[in-house]
Amino acid sequence: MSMLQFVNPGFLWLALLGILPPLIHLLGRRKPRRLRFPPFEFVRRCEEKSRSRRRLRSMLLLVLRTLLLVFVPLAIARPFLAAPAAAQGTGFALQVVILDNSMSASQAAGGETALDRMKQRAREIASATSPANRFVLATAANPPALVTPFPAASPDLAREAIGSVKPTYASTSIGGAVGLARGLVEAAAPQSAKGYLLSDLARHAFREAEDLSIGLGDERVSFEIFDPVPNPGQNLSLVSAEVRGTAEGVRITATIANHSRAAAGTEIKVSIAGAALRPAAVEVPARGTAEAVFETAHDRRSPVFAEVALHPDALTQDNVLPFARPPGRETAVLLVNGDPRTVSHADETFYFERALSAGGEGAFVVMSTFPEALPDDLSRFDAIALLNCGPFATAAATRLDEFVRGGGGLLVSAGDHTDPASHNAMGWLPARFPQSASANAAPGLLVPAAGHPALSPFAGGAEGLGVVKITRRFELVPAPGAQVFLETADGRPLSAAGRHGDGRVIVFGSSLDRDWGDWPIRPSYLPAMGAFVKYLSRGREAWETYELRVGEKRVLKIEACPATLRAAGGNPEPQELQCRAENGGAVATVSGPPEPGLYEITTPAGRTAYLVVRTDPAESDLEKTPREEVEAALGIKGRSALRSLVGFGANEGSGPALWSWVLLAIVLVLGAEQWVTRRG
Amino acid sequence: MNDRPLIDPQVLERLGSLELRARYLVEGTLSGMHASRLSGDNVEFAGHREYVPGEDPKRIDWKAFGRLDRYYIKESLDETNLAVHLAVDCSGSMEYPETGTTKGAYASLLAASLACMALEQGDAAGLYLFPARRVHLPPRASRVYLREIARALETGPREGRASIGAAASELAGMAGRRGLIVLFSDMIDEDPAALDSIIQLSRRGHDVCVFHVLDRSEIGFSASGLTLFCDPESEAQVLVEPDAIREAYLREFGAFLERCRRVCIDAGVDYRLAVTDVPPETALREFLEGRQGRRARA
Repeated sequence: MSMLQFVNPGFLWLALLGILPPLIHLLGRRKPRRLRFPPFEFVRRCEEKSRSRRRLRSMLLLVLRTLLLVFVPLAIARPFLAAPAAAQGTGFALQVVILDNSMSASQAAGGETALDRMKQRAREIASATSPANRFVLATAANPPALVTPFPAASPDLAREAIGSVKPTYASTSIGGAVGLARGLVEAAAPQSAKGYLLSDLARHAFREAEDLSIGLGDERVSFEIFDPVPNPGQNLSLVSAEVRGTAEGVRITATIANHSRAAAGTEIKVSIAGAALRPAAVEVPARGTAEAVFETAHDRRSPVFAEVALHPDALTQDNVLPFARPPGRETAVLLVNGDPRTVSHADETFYFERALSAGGEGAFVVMSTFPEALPDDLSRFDAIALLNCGPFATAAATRLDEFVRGGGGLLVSAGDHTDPASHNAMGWLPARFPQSASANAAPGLLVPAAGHPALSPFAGGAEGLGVVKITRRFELVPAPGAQVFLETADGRPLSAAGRHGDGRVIVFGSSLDRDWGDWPIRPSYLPAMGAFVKYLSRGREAWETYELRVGEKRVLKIEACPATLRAAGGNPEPQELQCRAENGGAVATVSGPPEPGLYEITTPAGRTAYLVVRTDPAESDLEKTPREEVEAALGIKGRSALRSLVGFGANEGSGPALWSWVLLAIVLVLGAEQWVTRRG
Repeated sequence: MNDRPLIDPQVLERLGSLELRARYLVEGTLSGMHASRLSGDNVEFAGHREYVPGEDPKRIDWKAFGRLDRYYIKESLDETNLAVHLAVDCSGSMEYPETGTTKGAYASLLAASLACMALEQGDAAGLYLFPARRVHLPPRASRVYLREIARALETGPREGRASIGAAASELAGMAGRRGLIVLFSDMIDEDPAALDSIIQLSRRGHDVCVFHVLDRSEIGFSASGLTLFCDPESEAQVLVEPDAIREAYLREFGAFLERCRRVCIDAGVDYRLAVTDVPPETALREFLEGRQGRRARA
């Protein structure tokens, strides 16, 4: 026996509006005006004559208006006759629901979330599905997943499955979920199918010209779109948080994006290792970004574990951004000034120090001293630059030797004060100095061996070095094993690099100020000096920090297997990573954790790396995709719209659609009401 | 005809007594018309009476004064050749509308004005109020008689159900010789033979004129919204949505007016529809012009 069911049963409540006309008729009677009227008899006679006709008309209008108010919600509820599978004989109808549970679905919608509303709608669809028919529920958070049993489930099972859908921090993959559903429709081979896209329709979820249609035989499955939040609220998100060392501590720069079409202000809070800094207020322009800068004292040799948080808004999931900065991430450089001057630009360190500072705040921490005042403890520096230094005391030479062998970097540049004998006496420099310097006439520097890391900025071409004029230099004699990576135009070695212990050394045969050349005023000087120091300090790097997005898969180089992943400072339950040995080291495959936060990978050798897992910034943008584009992608634009309106779609529910008849009844009732009204 | 209004409605409204208003109205109306008064026939001596201060000194019989050294007025037996009988409907239905000029007030002013006019030209004027506690002032030609007529019109009871037929029969008995009978009524009478009794008056030789006094809202049925209509004469009630019966009412009431007019005209009765929003001098002027026309035709 056929059962009357509804596609949108929630609208049936509106049928209660049908009691309004009788209520208005009973309660809304006006108090009559009393009028003493001489031609009373005429009035009475006319009233008597028309009384029965008017009563009939009133009753008719009451009935017709009541019917109108009942029929309209009934039509919106879209009734259909659900025939049992046995009666249909040839198969079942399939309801395919794509439910978007990505991060943006957690946005506020009234007192609940968009996901709550979508789940409620999915439950309604499941309730409207005949027990004989089947239901498919696929979630669109990346990676897409089938929630109901393969290939399809009964409505009862579907309702249970809907309850199990949880909010995620993942990005959206409507295309992936639809692709999954395509396979399921094919596997289930239903008689008919109808699709439901339950999504916030955020712009990031739909790619241009993406085909989201599902085929069933020669036809496309018709889709109904449900957007739980037609007017999303204002949303700001943390795009990035950059931390750099300063001479006194750290500087944190947070970038906040405003995804709304109106400027907005917010409060931003930063806490380092649980200690909160003073909050700041920022004004973010519409569809723009703004930065907030925090500075605080911090031991630069300690790691920084911090969190930036915004004031709650429409989507709170993107309001917190954790980050980590490994210890010694900036290079601490000690400049040993062999030729100090009172005029700053004539000072030996003037250009070199500025070149290191030009690359951005905190990249290098620079301190200056003199050969006679070389600190006893050099271990807190990553690299030392001996700039035009004279003879060294034996003790100083010994400390430099220990420093380099311990992993430090040493740069030796020449000049008028350079004492070749004491330099050569070290014995471990990658090049020896001749007794005296010589003039050089030909302009330009040559790169004999491309790809040396000390010249990494010039890997794409060393044209910038061709204009550098070196007027005087020591014609270096490379040590065995040393690598000459820079020559003067006459082919003489100008700079050589080599290793000593765990450390690295560069010898530069000319001055790094303007005494013996014009390199400091050439554009190539700045990147070259930065690259020199980075090359030298690499031996001190302790651990890496990687940034991943929620759900992102990444292969990382680690020291050795096995490797475990656990949340930093949070759940201590470690997760073993897929790991294999490779090229003397190992690689581990990290499947992005499902929640944003700070994670650490540990190996038998100790802590190896930190993972900063962040949400997809695109998820924070709640801007809608035009509905027409979504309909076009689903293949329903211009095709099913009329069908859906009239209700003659083959895939409507699981049986004959009745609401078109209800619509016809509405038209007839409306016409009758008008006719009766005009008849007076 | 000069259309310039000679009667200031505000002045007319301020004049408290009906007598004064009637005089003011008559003066204004006649001066506007270049009055042509009705002329009487010869006078038959009846006797003398003492002069009352306030009367026209021209009427003093100076010969009698010379003989008796007292003021006497010489009265004739039959001062006029025309007796004007003014019959005014004072039923409850004439007390409409509840605000503004009622039909009764409008009819009273017209009646008093006609009385004034008749008395001023030496004709006799009498008053008959119907239906309740009927008041009858027989026609007299004394000018001071206007005061009594006006007082009766002002103080006369306005209640009960009008019976035009009975009133006409009674008036026929009282009127005696032929005269001018002017009836002021809204003609709302349940008796379908009411009009016939008026025709009977005409057939007995009286010159009959009917002022059909109505309010504009009765003709146009301007009521709106749910209304409890009450009969002012019987207090019966009926609840009606006026919009629902307007068309039928206008049809029926229009037929009633047309029947009144047709029956009167066919019987030689001078029929005048007097709507209360028409200035009374206009109604009066039209009546007088109509009278002149009738006399000329006769």
